[in-house]
Amino acid sequence: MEAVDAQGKHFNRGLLVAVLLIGTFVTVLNQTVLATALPTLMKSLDESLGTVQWLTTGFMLVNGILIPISAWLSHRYNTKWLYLGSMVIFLIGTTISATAHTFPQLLTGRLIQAVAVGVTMPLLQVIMLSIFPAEKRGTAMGMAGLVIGLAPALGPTLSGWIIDNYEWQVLFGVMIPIIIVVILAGLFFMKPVIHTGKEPLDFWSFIISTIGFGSLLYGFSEVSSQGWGDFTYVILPLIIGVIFIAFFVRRQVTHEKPLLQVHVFQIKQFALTTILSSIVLIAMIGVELVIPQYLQTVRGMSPFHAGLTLLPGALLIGVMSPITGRIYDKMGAKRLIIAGMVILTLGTLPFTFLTENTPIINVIVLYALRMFAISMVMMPATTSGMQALTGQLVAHGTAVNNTTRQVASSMGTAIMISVLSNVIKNNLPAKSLLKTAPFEYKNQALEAALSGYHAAFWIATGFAIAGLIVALFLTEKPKNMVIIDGGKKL
Amino acid sequence: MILVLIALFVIAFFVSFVLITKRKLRIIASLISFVALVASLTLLIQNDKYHFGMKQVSHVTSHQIFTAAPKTPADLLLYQQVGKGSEENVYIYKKHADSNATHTQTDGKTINCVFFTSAKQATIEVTTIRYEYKNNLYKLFFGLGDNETLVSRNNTFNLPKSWLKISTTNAKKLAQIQKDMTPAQKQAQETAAKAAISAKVKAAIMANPKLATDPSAQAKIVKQATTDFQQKAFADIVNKLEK
Repeated sequence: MEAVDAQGKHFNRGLLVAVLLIGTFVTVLNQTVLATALPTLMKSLDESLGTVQWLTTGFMLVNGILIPISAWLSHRYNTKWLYLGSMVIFLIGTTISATAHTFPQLLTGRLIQAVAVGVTMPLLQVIMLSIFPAEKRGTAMGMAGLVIGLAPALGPTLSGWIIDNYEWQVLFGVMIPIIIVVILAGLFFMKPVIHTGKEPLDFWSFIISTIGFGSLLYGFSEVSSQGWGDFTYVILPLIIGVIFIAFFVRRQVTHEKPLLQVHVFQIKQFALTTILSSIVLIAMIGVELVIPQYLQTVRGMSPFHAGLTLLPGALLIGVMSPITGRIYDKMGAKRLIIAGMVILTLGTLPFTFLTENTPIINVIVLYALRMFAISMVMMPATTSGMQALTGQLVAHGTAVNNTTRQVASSMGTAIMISVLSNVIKNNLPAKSLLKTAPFEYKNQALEAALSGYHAAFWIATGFAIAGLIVALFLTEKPKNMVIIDGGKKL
Repeated sequence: MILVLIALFVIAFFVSFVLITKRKLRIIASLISFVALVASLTLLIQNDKYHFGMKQVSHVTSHQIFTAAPKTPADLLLYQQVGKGSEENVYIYKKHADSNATHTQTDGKTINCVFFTSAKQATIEVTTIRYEYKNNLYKLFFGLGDNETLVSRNNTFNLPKSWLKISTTNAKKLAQIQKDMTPAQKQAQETAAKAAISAKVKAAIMANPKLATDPSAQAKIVKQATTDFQQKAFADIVNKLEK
């Protein structure tokens, strides 16, 4: 079957996919690329940790704000120019970051980058769903999963390596030539594959969604430093966020031309799979965050070595994602997802028994086991949810799915990190012991840290079990498999 | 080995649960691989957390040690006080006379004891208790991730009576005291030394009158008496500081 774009012209699908995957990979990499670089940046820019954290928090906020409007963008603007436009914006942001020597300049660069990433990540999924026939969507989304799963997992290792060997500016510098190549190639191979129309932007929805998701995500991000009990930085933003999101949802349901068609949630298969992929994302990101901390604080590893320990698992999700996508096309999602959730649960449980001497190779293998399981769930679940959607709803479904996952992952991260730090704090020996018997204090503090990690991994196991239960409600094969044909209204 | 098995059982479970289309075969194969997977994960946890397949083995080694402060009149075992009691003290010594100073472990698993004995050489006896694999089969099974960890360590110092024990803070004070001595004090000490030495020589001659005509034997006695005196004076200061 030859591929045809929205204007009825033939195009080379392989090259389009290559341009799309490489470009999006580089953009998504930026979600986690600063994770291990913050201490270096604090020193280099002479700023406090709280300030430097805005480089990741601010990025995440802008990212989260852009995702809900990505559906409107993808139906308003020609796909080719929307993608290339995003990549140019990304190039500008990256260049500003790579040449930065002051905090304000770096932050500016990061926020500009975030605008682009907020568009490219959902756009990748919508394009992949639009240019492949329904029976090949699993494979197509598997390739997208290679980007969405592998890039964030690779970010910390890559940055650890670069920071150890070069100036931090190189982190961004290495991306510039790749982006330029992608933009040049995109001029030839990118095509307008999604049907577009002159749809007006519901300005008020945009404002409400920005305030709502912005403050909700901000509230969650502050939990790790302020705790759940803090009113100004956590509770208040969360309340404002929930109220505005409620307004937003009401406006979307009643409005004639909504910014985001949230009623896709009424479709059972979509709702279930969105919950599932959110849970799996929590299980993935939460553990991705906690294991390096264990490796660094309990085992005394450098950030880079901690990142290396997680590398095999990260690579495995890259290898497996296209394979599980293919299996999805043949066998459907239900058994794949249930098997994945069983393995995820079994693979997380051993982490609740971590000791100070657990062989590192056990950590590597078990982490890879979890990633294997995640590759069986994340993209197949998303794809299976999309199969229930037709036409324009694909872009809206993708945006809703991505928004939900963004909120879920920031909530999950907040829960994991706060449980970790609270349990550690509650089990720490009395400060007076530090003076009378420091070695005994060290032993007891280590025990306290381990109990914190155990608690965090019990939470992760709980999420995996919850996911398994949700998976049991999936239908064997969604009935309404509809050819989407570039999102044309059917 | 166990890790390889886990990987194989995961793949087996995945293949049988997802890819086998015949219902009966699928259920049987999935169940078997699931049980095998759970069993091998349990063994892994048992080994890591509860030392399944391991036993505690103690090793004893002993070797001579040397003072870390060779220029003092008496050999010293230096220690750094950590915390309030003496239980967490870190002892400083040399493994060879010409090597750099080393110290006892600070891992929180080490206990140190110091004994003064009639031995002529100062020694340290290290007793370590480690988890080791019960036999080669277990080693093959769990050996990929080395889990032979330290349980506890006991350092016993056996010192000749001529050795002295002093904390690093007191050692600094000691150096200061010696430096701060006024000329008058030094004079007094020298006079006291001379008096003590000549008393010793006299006592020796009284006991053995032949010595009166033997200058070389006398010189020996003077030398011995000098060291004795210096060591005693030094020991007095150290013991006073250590009180």
